[in-house]
Amino acid sequence: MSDLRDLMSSVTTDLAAVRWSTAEELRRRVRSRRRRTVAVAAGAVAAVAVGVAAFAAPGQRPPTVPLTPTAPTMQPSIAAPVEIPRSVLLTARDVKAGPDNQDDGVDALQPVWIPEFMACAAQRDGTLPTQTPRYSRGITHLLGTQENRPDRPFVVAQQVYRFAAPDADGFLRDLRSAVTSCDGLTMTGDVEAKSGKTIRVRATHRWSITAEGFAGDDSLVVRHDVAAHHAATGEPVGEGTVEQVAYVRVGDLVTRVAPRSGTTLDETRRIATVAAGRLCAAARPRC
Amino acid sequence: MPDAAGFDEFYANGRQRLLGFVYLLTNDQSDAQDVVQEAYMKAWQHWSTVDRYDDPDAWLRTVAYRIAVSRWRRVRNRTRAYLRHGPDDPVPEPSVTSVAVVQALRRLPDEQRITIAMHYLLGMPVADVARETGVAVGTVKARLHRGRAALAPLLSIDPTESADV
Repeated sequence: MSDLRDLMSSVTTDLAAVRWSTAEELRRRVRSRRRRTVAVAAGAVAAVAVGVAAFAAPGQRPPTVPLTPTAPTMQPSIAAPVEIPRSVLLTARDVKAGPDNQDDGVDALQPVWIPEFMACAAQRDGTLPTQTPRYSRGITHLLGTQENRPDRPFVVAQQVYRFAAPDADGFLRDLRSAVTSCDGLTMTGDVEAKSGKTIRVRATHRWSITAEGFAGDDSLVVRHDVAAHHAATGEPVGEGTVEQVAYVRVGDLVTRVAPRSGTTLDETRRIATVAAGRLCAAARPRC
Repeated sequence: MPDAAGFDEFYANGRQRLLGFVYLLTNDQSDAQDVVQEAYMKAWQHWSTVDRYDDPDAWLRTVAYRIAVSRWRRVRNRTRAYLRHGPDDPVPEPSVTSVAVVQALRRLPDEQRITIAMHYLLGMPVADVARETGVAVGTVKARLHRGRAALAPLLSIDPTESADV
């Protein structure tokens, strides 16, 4: 009779032959991404300059932005306005959390991660928004400290994305379409029941929009319900889950605000509205 | 300036273990390798902060897990990686034992599979698994017990083998 540890050792031994990129190669890829980030920033500044030139009517004051930005557009200081400062994210006081929070870092040119639609994305290609943001920044607010953490420390996760301006609008439009096209999805899989047995269940996913137009330039709250039934008998399994996630657009920024399970719609809207107000300082155009 | 030498050591010492963990979650060596390297790139991006964490390996596992579960995103990144870097290095064929282990683990619910991988592959004590997965020690023990029981007929292992605390 085998020992599970021995079997795991076989897996580890098999993987020993994998050829890895060097650490320097990983750092080079990171540098390359950063260079692309700066290039995008430079492009954005150039676009602003061209826009000012195009809309400056005769007789008006000349634009203060140089019309032909060259070397200065590559300076990090020029890139800064395009990035998303941490100061525009929700604070612990906004969401009644703390003192700890978790900085989820920054990213650039990566697709938006929309976990509440993952089940749909896995089964139906082309249903989710495809707009890729230029930048993103995230934070997760928690309760307590590392030494004194309650059982359920998670309060809210916020991601902020900066899109090319038309894409921000398109993202929410496509999200609304995803709600319609994904609603009613069913999936079958194995889960661990409270009794400890593994049983086959059929899960039904429902998506709906429970609030709209309450903050920012555009906003909505997506509700995702999952109800599971025993695949063979049809008996309900567990109590099902409900999550509500708010999306708010302010100019070229879109924020995703995902509070913990059980948060009321009113509280979700309140947090999202506060988030929208904070984003004004970094949005283009400002509000 | 981040400490490149410290990152090199972190990468060299931890990548194989993380690969094993991710492989048991993704069931695909190439995918697992992409996920691991992507996670280490994230670590380098934030190295001046990550380096100061009490347990940077735990942070890295969380990052890798998030990347791994985001399947649609991973596929997209692989396409990009292919376009940028060409085809992957050929991946060695896994042994029959590895295939059997991975196939058997696929039949477990996620929470049991992650718990088994952390305890039996990474060698993490039950208390550490409990802390990292956010559940009670008793829950981890129960998941290990149930996981072993489910794997026993598939892998000819002893279902009563006890977990180290």
